Order: sequence, then structure tokens, then C-alpha cells
Amino acid sequence: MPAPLDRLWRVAATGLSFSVFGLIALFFTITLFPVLHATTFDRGRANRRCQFAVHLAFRWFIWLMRTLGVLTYERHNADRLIGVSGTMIVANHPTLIDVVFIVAMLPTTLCVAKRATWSNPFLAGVMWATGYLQDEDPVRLVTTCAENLKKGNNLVVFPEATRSVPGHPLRLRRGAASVIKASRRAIIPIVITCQPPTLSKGEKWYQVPNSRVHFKITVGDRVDPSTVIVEGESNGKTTRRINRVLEELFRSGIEGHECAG
Amino acid sequence: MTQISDITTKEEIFAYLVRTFVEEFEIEAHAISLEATLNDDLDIDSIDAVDLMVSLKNHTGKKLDPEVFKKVRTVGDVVDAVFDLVNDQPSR
Repeated sequence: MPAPLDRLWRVAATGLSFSVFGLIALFFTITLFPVLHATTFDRGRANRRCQFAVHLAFRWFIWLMRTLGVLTYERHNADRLIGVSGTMIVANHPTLIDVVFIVAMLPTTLCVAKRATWSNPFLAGVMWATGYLQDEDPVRLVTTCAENLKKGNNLVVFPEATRSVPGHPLRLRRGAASVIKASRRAIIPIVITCQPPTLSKGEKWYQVPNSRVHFKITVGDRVDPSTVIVEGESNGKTTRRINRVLEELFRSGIEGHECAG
Repeated sequence: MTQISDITTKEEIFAYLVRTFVEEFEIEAHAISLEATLNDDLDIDSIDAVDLMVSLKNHTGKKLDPEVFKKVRTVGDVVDAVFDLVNDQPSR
């Protein structure tokens, strides 16, 4: 296909993909989710059922985008996520759809999402049905996250708290580190890169790059945080030490992706 | 450790903040000025802000109103807020 036509196709296919995404989210909200919730009294179980539905939908969504030619992707060590529970998955956050790739690898997981998502008409129902956690009062969020990990729920968190700024060093906030300190549970890091960069902060969906985007997703080794947590140390120090470890994991992972070409 | 109510003047409050930022948040002392913004210049996020409020409460014996703290942008704003608090001024 000639380049301008190819680009036009990818703009249309991206628009179609995102429309389908929103419509399926709405459709699930008025059909599937109420049924999944109405057939059990156990709220946690209902949430996990809905999380599984989201997992399947996200897998299909990735298939759709690949089939339509919006993107290509490669995954490395995805098997490290098989059967995990009570684990916090931390990832860098280059694009709008990172969470789609991660949830597509985890049959059930909670996610921390920004407050605005609960007022997004397409996504509000998904947030409610899955029990995803709202980025609200920081102290309460840290406690809720730690409790959920203890209960055996997985949790996806982006320590940057917002999408990365292309070309800038990662800037990790200290919410994820606080959860690691509070829960003392092992984490699994995931490194995501996207070339050429797309769907980053402030970019509109129709600003598609000149060539088709390629995602690389690498699941890292489990990291036990106990060695970096020092008893009696201030929160500020411990969370910064944890973040240096995370930053190094992300930085070297991103570098590895770029070197591999 | 500073004793409760040891800090009353704006200079003392600023000195206390510098000490806390350096010791607890690993911030370089030379980066801290009254004009420095907590979020952008000093990289103090909402989690740190909560720790800072706890520390302030331990040192002044008074609890800073979180609503007041939400409006704080610079180190100078914190100094003013703490000054009002320890001197029983109504919060601005």
C-alpha cells in the first residue's frame, strides 16, 4: 500500500478499534456485568468474574488491532504471569493502551485507575463491575492496595501514575513504592516500549505515526522487596530507595528493548 | 529531634522544613528555598505530603488542616501555613 494510503487506513482502523472498544465496554455494562453480579452474593467473586470478562475482551481487542494493521507486538516471558496471585505488577507507562496488554496476560487482576475514568461514560461501568481501585486519597489507596494483595488479588499499578513523557527520564511517584513498603510482597515488573512512539500523553488517537507501531512487552523476574526495606526508616527514604530499584529495572529493560532493535 | 512548639518563628519553621526535607526525603539542601515548589522543584508528591503532615504534627503538636495543605504550592506557603498554625492564626 502507498504510504499516505497506509497511514489513512491506520487512522481509520485506530478509530474503529477505539469505537469498538467503547461500545463493547458499554454493552458489557448493560448486559454481561449485571448478570455476573446478580448471580452471586459474593462481591469479590463478582468482581473477579468481571475482571475475567475484561481480560478476554482485551485479548480480543489486541487481536483486532493487530488484524486491522493498527499495531504489531511481541511478548517476552509472559509465562511468568501464569498462576500468579496476590502480586503487584508494576509497569512503565508509555501509551494509552499499556494496561490492555497487561490485563490480557492476567485472567484476574485489579488495576489502579485515575479518578476521571469513573466519570467516563464508556468506562464507568467497567470500573464499577471489576472493583478497580480509584486513585484518590493517597493514604486510603495505599491501605486498600495492600489489603487486596494480602487477600490474594493481583494488582496492576503504573508507578509513574501517568503516562511517560517521551524523551524524558522516567519520573516515578511514590504511591506504588508505598504499597510495596506496606505490603512487603514480591512484585513483577513489566517493561513496555512502543516504536515509533504513539498514544502518549496529550496525543490524540488520530495522530498515528508514519509507520505501523510495534509494541514490545517483557515480563521481568519476581523481585522480593525485603532487601530494600529498612526497619524504622522514614517512609520518604524507603519509598525513594524502592523507586531507585524500580527505575533501574525499567531503564535497563527499555534500553534492552531498544538495543534489540 | 525538635521538641514540640520549639518552632515558632518563620526562620525556625523554614530551618525545620529544610532539615526534614534533607533527612526524610533526601532532597539536596541547596535546592530548598522559599520559592521552590513542592511538586515540581522538590519532587514531593501526595504521599510525601502526608508524611510531612505527620511529621509536622509530631513536632508542633497541632494538626494541619489537609484542606489548607492542599492549597500549598511552595515551601514559603508551607512556612506560612505552619506559622499560622503554631501561632493560632485562622488559616488563610
